[in-house]
Amino acid sequence: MVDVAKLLPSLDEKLVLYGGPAYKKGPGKDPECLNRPILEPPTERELRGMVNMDPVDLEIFGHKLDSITDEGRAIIMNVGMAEGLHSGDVGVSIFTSLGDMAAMATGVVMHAILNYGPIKYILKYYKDDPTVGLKDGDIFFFNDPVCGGVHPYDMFVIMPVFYRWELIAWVGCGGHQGESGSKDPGGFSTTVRTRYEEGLHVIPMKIGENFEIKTDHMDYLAHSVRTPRNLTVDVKARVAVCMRLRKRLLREVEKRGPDFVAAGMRMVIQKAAMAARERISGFNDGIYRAVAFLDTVGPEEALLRIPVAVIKADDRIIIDLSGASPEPGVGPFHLSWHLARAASALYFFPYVYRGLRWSIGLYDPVGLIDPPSFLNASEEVACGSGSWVGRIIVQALHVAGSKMAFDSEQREATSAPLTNNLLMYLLGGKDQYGFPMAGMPISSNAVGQGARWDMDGEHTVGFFWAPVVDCPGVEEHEDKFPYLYLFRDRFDTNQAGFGKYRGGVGVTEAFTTHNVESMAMVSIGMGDRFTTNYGVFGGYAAPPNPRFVIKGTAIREMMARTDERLPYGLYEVTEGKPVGGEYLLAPSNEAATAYSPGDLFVLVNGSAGGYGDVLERDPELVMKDLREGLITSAVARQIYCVCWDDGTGEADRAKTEELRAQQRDERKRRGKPFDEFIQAWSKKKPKDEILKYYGNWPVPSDT
Amino acid sequence: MGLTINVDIGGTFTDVLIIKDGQRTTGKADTTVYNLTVGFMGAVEHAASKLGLSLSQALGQADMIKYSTTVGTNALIERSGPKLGLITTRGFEDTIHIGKSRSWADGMSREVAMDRPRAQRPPDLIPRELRVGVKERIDCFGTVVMPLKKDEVLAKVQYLVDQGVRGIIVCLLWSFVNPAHEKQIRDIIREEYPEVYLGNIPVILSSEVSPKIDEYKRSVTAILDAYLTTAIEDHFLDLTDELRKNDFSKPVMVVRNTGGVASVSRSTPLHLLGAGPVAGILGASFIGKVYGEGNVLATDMGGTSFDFGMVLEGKERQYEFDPIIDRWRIQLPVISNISIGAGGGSIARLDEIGNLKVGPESAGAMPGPACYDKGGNLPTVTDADVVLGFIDPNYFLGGRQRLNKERSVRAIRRRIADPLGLTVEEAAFRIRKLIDGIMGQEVYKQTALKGYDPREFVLFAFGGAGPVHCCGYAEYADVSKIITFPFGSVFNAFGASTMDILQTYEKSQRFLIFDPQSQSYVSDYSVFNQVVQELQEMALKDMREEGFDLKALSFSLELDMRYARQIHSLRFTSPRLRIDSAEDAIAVCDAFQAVFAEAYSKAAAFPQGGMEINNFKLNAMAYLPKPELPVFDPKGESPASALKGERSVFWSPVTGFIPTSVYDHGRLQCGNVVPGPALIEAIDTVYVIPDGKRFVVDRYLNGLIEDN
Repeated sequence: MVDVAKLLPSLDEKLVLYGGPAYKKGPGKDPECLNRPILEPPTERELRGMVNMDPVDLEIFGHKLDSITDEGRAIIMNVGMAEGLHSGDVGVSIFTSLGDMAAMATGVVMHAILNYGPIKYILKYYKDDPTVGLKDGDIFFFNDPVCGGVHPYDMFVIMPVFYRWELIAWVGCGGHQGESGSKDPGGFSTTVRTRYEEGLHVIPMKIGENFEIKTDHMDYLAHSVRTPRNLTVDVKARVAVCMRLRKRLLREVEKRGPDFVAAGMRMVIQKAAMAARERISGFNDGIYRAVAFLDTVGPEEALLRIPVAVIKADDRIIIDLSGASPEPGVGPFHLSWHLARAASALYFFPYVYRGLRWSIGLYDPVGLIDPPSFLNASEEVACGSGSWVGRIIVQALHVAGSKMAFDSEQREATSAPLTNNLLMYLLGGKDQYGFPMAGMPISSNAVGQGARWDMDGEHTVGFFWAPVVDCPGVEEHEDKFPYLYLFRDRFDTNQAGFGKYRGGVGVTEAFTTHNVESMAMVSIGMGDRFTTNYGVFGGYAAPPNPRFVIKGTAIREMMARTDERLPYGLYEVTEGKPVGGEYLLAPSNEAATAYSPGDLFVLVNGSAGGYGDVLERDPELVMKDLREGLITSAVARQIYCVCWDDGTGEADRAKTEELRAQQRDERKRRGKPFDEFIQAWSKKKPKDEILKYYGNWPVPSDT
Repeated sequence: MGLTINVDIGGTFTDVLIIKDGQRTTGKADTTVYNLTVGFMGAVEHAASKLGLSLSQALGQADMIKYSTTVGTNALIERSGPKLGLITTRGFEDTIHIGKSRSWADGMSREVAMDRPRAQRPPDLIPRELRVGVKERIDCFGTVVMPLKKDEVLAKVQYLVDQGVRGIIVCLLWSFVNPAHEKQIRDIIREEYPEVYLGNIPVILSSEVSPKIDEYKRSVTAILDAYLTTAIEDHFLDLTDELRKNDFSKPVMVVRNTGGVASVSRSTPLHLLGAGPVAGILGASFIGKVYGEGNVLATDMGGTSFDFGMVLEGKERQYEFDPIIDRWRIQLPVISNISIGAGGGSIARLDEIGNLKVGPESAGAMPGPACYDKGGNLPTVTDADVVLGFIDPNYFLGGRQRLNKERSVRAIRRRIADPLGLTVEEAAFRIRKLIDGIMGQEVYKQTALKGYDPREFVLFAFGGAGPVHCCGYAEYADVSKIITFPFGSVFNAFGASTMDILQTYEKSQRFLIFDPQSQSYVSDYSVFNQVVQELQEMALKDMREEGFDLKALSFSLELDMRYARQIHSLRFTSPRLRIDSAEDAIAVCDAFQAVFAEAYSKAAAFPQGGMEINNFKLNAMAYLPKPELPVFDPKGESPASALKGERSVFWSPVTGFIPTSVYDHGRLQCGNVVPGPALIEAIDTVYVIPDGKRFVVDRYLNGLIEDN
């Protein structure tokens, strides 16, 4: 047994070396602003306010901060035009005067530990610069990931909050805008090689003063994208939210005093840090590992390694990403350190920290070792899909964390990860009403949940990044985009991972261009061949989902005559190719291509993995899955080993037990001693062409 | 009007307010969930007896009964609806399960909504095997892209009939734009399955129940309508039988959550859900007008929940943005009533690092707070109120229920005070303060979300725990003026007495009113006027059939409008029923922009991007006589004649226990002023008046709480 606590000194040394962004300081970016200590030393005002802070007043103040940010979120969701905004892919935050996030409403979990970087940068470099300065009513905009955002498609506005000429807080609002003037319409570009092809890259820039956006600055931003009207509305919406947050916070200052408010924000963060350490102490010390793989670099198929080790010692957790593939330098799948850390919040906040109030303080006991690799890339590379790489870290972290949580009071944190094989279609052109259109349908907000240690995963539980994001309805999408669905809200067969408990199913959809002569489409995704929808504790993974387009189909004619052969699911679309045309099953990532009426797009939004041994699944649940069309009879019989009466559809428990006993014997027969297995396994190696960007095999960092 | 009877069924009690020749008389009975009619008649009998009338005499003299009922809510909780089948567009059979994806958390607390790892949907109202798809498609312009085939419809209907369904709901994509296919399905069923064969199976079309965009909400609205019909019909048959037996021969008007009353036959089951609190908001609006107060926060703190609604500038019609019934989103213009898990039964606990938390979990009525002595051992807000001395354990509900203070002390000591190193009273004080803070700040947030400043509001406090906590939560809500009512425990029944007849009609229709391309107001208004006319004709037909004088009807038009291509709309009252000129169009747009700026600020406005209407809602209203609030003459400021004694109350850790005067609410007279600190005990509540506040009995015998 390894005494993990003894590893801490060496891990701390690695944290010094690799606990921050790989890129160097430069205009608009400074790694020091991103990896400052979570618990900044309190300011004098904060210290004054802490002296007589009543714990109940503090609790009520925490609730107040939540109320304020909730109000801001409601506004941005109501007013925003971009799909990301009105569906809740947003972060609305209140920061201390030093830029530490004290309250946040989202949307997207990772925003909880993002967006502080630009504030710290402004404080460090611009505040005292007479050509920029900082005063009440200033409005800053940013979207460049290197200064602490997500990717160029997520755009933010931040504003300082002054009380009697003294800076007492910051407020911020932003979220996924999509269109950024990048190479392809709608944001994500798959074939880019450098960040310069990904459109706007704005480091924190003052776009307004005296509470007004400067017209020339707004025009510059709007002029830089394909949908100027949308961006204008949405930047204004962000500013409106910041103004509202500011107003509410100042009212609290009037009522409770500036010392109270400043101290309250700081103490909310400190309390979160205490709670996090307490929670982590409850897990067993140990090193928990999982290895995941990315199967694309964007323009090409490739295999890249993402190893995750969770080292838990005392009241600390260190996530070690050492051993990842090097930076490929092509495509947008590059991640930066701060985003890797932010991504990990998607597992930590709802699972490890289940029930605790979210703030950046929860990351005080968490360290991230992330040596230079494609998981901590240089600044020149394209990084628009960096968050997608972050998703795979989350998947591996979820698997490793499930092992850690199983023997603890937090067993609810044990489950297969949420569906991640995301494939997105971004559309551009003119919509059916004649308006310019560049956006992204978001049926991906209806993906399946991983199976849990004690129950099945829920179907269509939400969006990968966000617990409280809606999936728009079919009519809403058809009103917004010039297409027509053939099917969508119908669960498809054999999509979820099998297991003692099965994963939840996501939606599978098929649509065709409608009411326009053509429509441009970019597609982006991963998990085409190598799924990241893992199972845990013996549960099956859910299948990969490549891009699937059928060009030149007879779908319109078939619909016009209500053809009997119209397909309503993946099996029906593929078996016998009933719609005619050219079937194109390809990797997810494709640059903008024009499509015509009659082209059929099939999109599998992904289902989740299973938990536990399939032979332990209750036969009645297997039969229910069969009745509901979630599995085929072949799966029920061959995978789950269930027998049933064809007449009544009832499971035959005795015969099932017999069949399962045979299956267990067969497993034993196939089994090998561990050393023998490892010897054979170690000799296996993928084809060289798929390892082009992998680095050394099997561990890229080994030389 | 000589005598009206207003009945409100609540979870615990059935409340009655009889208004006879302007005088109010209240009555109460236990709610009889097994048969609501029993409690209904019992409560009416109780009130009648106070007037020296028998049940039959009171009912015989009554001109009208206004009734808000929980029968639909109960049927939904018990999932006791009939077996239903759904016919939908093929390829979309799981729409009602998927909903909005994260809608698994609809109707649950914020805490549950954020706890995705433990997500669980409720069972579908119509299971997968009873949802069938038919091949057909209509697009967003209403064009038929794929025709419906009769043979397939017949096969699917036969399947559902074979499964034993007792009702069929039809919801097809875009049916609110073009209902042809839905109607065709109903025609096919009627033609091929005559009543003799199918019996009483209703066929319900979503385009008729709710002609609005969003197939999920439209489906659920139609399904719930059908699901609750049987229970509600059964109840009203039973109730009207009983009423008739007791000499009542006038109409029963049901209170609807849309903010009016209507006959049973003109109401859908969905209208009845949550109608009681809406009656309370209407009552608050009525009283607000009497006081000349346009902005009112109506708050109702009970045992398990804290409910509140708003009257803004004299208008009570603030709608829920995305109304949820039980666990489903529906399409109905429900008056906004916010409910959070905070009440006398809210449980106090410590989290893992010792932070105090209160609610949203509640001990409910059973086992209830520790002091109820019914087996509960968790400390609650009521326990804190008992420990602090605000509630007299021997005078709870006027002495009808004895409380065990020792159990309160033990529960708070063991679970809160000892772990925090506090005295029991200090711990109780913190519990009370925290729950007040949570309630008050929620009120603040919701008011702010509407774009209003809470300081410009007066707060009405009712419900059993409202007067006990209102001074606390009003402070956090940033409201300084409070009004309480001697009939506060039957406030919803009072609200019912103030309501008018209201029918609402809606239609989703996109109408671009300001064109972004030409940057001008459109000149063709025919679509706008045609929709309004269509809705007006529906209203006139209904009202004519109900026998109302059409000349006495009043119409108002509400529009859902947005800047073009935004997703979310804002509802506001249109200044015009028709658009006949550019001036009319400008007036409509200006009204929208003013509401938008109030809610979200002018900074977010972008009229240059276009403005469009996407939904029309017409209200047809027939006014009913209103109750009068009797006025009393002042009898002097001194409340001495109502003083019933003194007891020690722990007001704060700074003051500790201090002797506090206790007054009998029933003996206070008009003009009396009770300075804080003081307690005023009534049978159904305690008015807690802290130091710095005073309680003034006004000319209506209502209690104003204001700064001293």
